Amino acid sequence: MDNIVRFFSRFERKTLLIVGAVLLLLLNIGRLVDNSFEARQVELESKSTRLEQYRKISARVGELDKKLARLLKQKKQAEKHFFTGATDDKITSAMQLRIQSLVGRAGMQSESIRPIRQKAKEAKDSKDKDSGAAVFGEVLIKARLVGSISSFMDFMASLYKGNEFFRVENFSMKPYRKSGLKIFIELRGYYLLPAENQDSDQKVVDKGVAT
Amino acid sequence: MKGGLEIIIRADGFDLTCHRGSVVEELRGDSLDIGALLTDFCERHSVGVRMLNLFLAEEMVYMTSVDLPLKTANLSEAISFQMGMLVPFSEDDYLSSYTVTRREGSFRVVISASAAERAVLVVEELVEAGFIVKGLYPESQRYVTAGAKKARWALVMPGNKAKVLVFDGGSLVERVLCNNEDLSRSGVASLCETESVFHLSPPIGGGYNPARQLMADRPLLKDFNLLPASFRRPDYLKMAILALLGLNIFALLLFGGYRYIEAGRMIEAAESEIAELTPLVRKVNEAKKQIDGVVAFLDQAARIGKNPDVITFMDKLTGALPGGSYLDQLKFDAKKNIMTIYGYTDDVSELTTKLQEVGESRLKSTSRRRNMTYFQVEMVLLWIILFVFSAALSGKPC
Repeated sequence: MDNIVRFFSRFERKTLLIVGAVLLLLLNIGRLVDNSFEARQVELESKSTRLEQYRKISARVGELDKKLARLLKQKKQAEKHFFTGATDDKITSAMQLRIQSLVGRAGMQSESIRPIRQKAKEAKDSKDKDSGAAVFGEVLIKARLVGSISSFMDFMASLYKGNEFFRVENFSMKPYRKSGLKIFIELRGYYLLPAENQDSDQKVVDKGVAT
Repeated sequence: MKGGLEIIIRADGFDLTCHRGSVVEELRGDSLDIGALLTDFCERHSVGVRMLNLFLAEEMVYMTSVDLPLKTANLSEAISFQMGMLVPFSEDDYLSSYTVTRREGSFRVVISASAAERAVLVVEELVEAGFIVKGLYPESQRYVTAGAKKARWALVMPGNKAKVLVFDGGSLVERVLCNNEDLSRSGVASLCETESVFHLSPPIGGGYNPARQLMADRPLLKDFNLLPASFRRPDYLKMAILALLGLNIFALLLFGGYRYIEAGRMIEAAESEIAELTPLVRKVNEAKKQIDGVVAFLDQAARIGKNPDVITFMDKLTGALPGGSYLDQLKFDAKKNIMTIYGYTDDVSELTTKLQEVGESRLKSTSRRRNMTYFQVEMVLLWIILFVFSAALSGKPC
């Protein structure tokens, strides 16, 4: 300790202060330079990581394009089995006409066909909502038909084979007059909602068609 | 022992010393070959060093001080001008050195000068003999050491006229010539304003501190080097240190700068590539979003479509009904996936057995009327997945 004190006592106070100030200045400059280096290094690492991610993502362009094309093709095929139309009324009408046509072709008679347009089928979870998945509209059609067992089977067969999809919710058959059957059937038809109509199509509409 | 070889040049000869005065030889005479004498001295005292310091006896040194205003434009020029007027030697025939100390309101300049001829001759002889002269100083500088610290002290050097030198730490402040008769310790202390008074040959009982005490440390030798520039040895150590320092700073800046610039270049390259890839990434994100949408659509579509296999069921049912059994009513509930059959038969056990062949069936109730058994049976239907959707989802054409 004495040696240190003796060493420093050789110098004037002014000299020591100047040396101290210069050292502090150098330390500060060093700190600034170090900070600058560190910031640049962090920036470089961040950019490198981002670049690596971008490279990986962009390498999947071809694969994703192929997958998208395949899925779009499937979607297009699936969409064929839904009713489409400019408005809900027109779609509902088309469904009735379609069933009416099938009934007639199967040799049955329809006493009534009554559509009940139901609330649009919403996307089930937030993932589906976020993805912008299409929303289906549903129309429940209650029909009262008269015919034979074979004509009903023909009707069911043509319903199943048909391009547009109807789901059988329930039905009941009971004898009618001599050899006929009276059939009550509920069918559910689906249609694709145009995007602009989705919001306005939340109400339940009950409509009847006199036959 | 600190210190090396020293020669004190006196008017009538030389004092050769080594190890800070522990060995002293006084050589007196007019034509002394100092080179040969010093070589001999070194051999006799086993001194291996070839470097030495020269000191001029205080009688041979002229010293004066002058105050210059702080506003002096060119200090060195002003000092040179003052020396020309004050130094009692002819121009170009003297060696000089000076120190400058800033005081309140002025610069205190202490000038030291000596005739050049003798000193230069001695230096030349020593150099010829292979010695290296580090410096040429007034003798008083031999006693200025780091031990003096910052205290004010005085040194009395006897002679025809005693010289009293006042120091402030390691710096000479003043030199005063005094009569030997008037010289007392108290007088000197009063004159120099210090109680720390050293004497080269202190009289017994004089109260002086012996100058020998000052020889314990190595001399500072920072002021009044009178050695002509042509004899001064370049300070290789200082040069080497400066060169290394410069080299290190240069290397540091070069390396640091290179790293900094290289990092910047890499960042620029990365940014450029990122800018190039951004449209592709956007395209990928868009494609992913579309894929999610389509997958969700297909998933929903797949969840819709199941219909009961009514036709097969009816076919099997009509085939399986035993004779004497008739159907009255059929009800199908899709939610429960149950077909409820109402009818009547003459053999209910045969009917239930046959219906088991069609599918899973449960006899819910029976009643006996008009000699027939009326029954109610629940049957579970097989589902058929909607053909068109399953075909679409599997990617096959419908």
